[in-house]
Order: sequence, then C-alpha cells, then structure tokens
Amino acid sequence: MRRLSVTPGFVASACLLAWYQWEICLWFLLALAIHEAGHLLALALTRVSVQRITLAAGGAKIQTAEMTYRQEWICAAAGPAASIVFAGLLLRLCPTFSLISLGLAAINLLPLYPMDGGRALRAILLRRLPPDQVNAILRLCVWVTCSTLMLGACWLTAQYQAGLWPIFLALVLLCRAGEAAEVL
Amino acid sequence: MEQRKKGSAIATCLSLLYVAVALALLLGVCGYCYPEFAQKARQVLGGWEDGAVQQAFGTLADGLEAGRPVKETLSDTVEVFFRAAP
Repeated sequence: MRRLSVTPGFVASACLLAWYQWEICLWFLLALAIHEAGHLLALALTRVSVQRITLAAGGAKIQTAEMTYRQEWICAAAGPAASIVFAGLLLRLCPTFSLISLGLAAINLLPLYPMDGGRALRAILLRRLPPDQVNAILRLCVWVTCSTLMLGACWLTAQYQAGLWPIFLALVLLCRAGEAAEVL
Repeated sequence: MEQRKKGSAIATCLSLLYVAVALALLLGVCGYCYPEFAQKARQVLGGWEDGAVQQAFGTLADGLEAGRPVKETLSDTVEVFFRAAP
C-alpha cells in the first residue's frame, strides 16, 4: 500500500501559488513540510503508527491508528508548535518564511474540528468532561471563531480595498466549520 | 453536580480564552502581512481587469451582438484573453 499520496488539488494549488510568486510557493512548501514533520515526530514519540499521508488542496491529512486523548492532543499540537518554533528561529534569517510558517500555525490553531486546534481542544476537554458538554463548548467556540473571522475578513477588505480575497478565505474556513458542526 | 457545573464553566472560559488567543494570532499575522499582499494582489488583478479580462469580454460581447456563431466567438475570446494576459 502506498503511504503517501498527492491529489491533483494539491498540485493545482501549488501551481497557482507558484504562478503568483514562486518564492512564496517554495517557502510555503517548506513550512508545510516542517509542520507535518512536527506531527510525524510526535506520532513517532507517542508510538502511534501512521497508516497514510494525503496531500490535498485543503492541506495534509495523516491517517493513524486509534489514539488516546492524550496522544491525540500532543500529536495535534506538535504541528503548530514546530511551525512556531521554526518561525522564531528563522525570523532574522528569513522573515518571509517565518511569516508564512506563523500564518500556517495560526490557521491550524483555529478551534475548528478537523484542524489541529479543534482536534487538540476537543481531546483535552474530553479527558475531563462528558462528550455532550464538550460538544456544546466546541459549538460555541466554532460560532465565536466564525463570526470573528468573517468580521475580520470584511475589515481587511474594507481597510485595504484589494478585492474579496479575505472574505473568500474566510468562507473556505466557514465551510470547514460546517464540516466540524456536522461531526459534532 | 455543583462540581460538574463549575468544571464545565471553567472549561468554557478557558476554551473561549484559547479562541481569543488563536484569533489574535491569525488576525495579527494577517494584519501584518496583508498590506504587502494587498499591494501585489492589486497589481496582478488590476493588470488582468484592465487588460486581458476587459479585452476578452469586449470580444465576447461584440461577437454575440453581431450574431456570430457562439463556438467561434468563444474561441476568439479565449485567444484574445491569453494574448493579452500579463
């Protein structure tokens, strides 16, 4: 069985980014590799076997064996932690990479369930509280996050007047939040 | 029961604090990067809007108004678009 697969959506996204600016594309791919390496290192340290890695347009997806809540939050938090650490280490040497890496960490830390932040928060809460209470808290977090994101996106668009990019990106995240709401 | 409610309230407050920190980090990064990104996006999109897209729409509109075959008009439109694209 192939353990790494790359979807056409990922290739198309990378090509689009390269067409916009190839340097940013390279830095982004490096930041993504470091982020995923953080997850894989944590998975190896907590002795969780990796079944499959898929690179898709929405990001990388690592399929693993069953995990405990403790293993899940450690492995989920390891990716953004690696991104933040490398962003800090290379801030002076390469500010562009640092900003991209920090942006990647910031997006992944949002508490929307399939993403790292939502996964870690859910696992931490489930260690202490019953599932119905955890789901109620997570739904509140998703609602607050989505409302603030949309307001922030509108503010960026209105403030800098460079098209509807922030609103489009916020809508992509809202679609992910919709998936999260269905899971919860 | 009381203990459980208290635990749930504390968990909710801590979760909302986490949400606030995550959003502050994201909006901080976006706010810092966005002026430069916006400048570049404006250049790229402006180039397309003023040049290729406008010419392509012009060709399409002229073709349809003149009653030319749709297939031929679309073919010309695509050709004009790629010729004028930056």
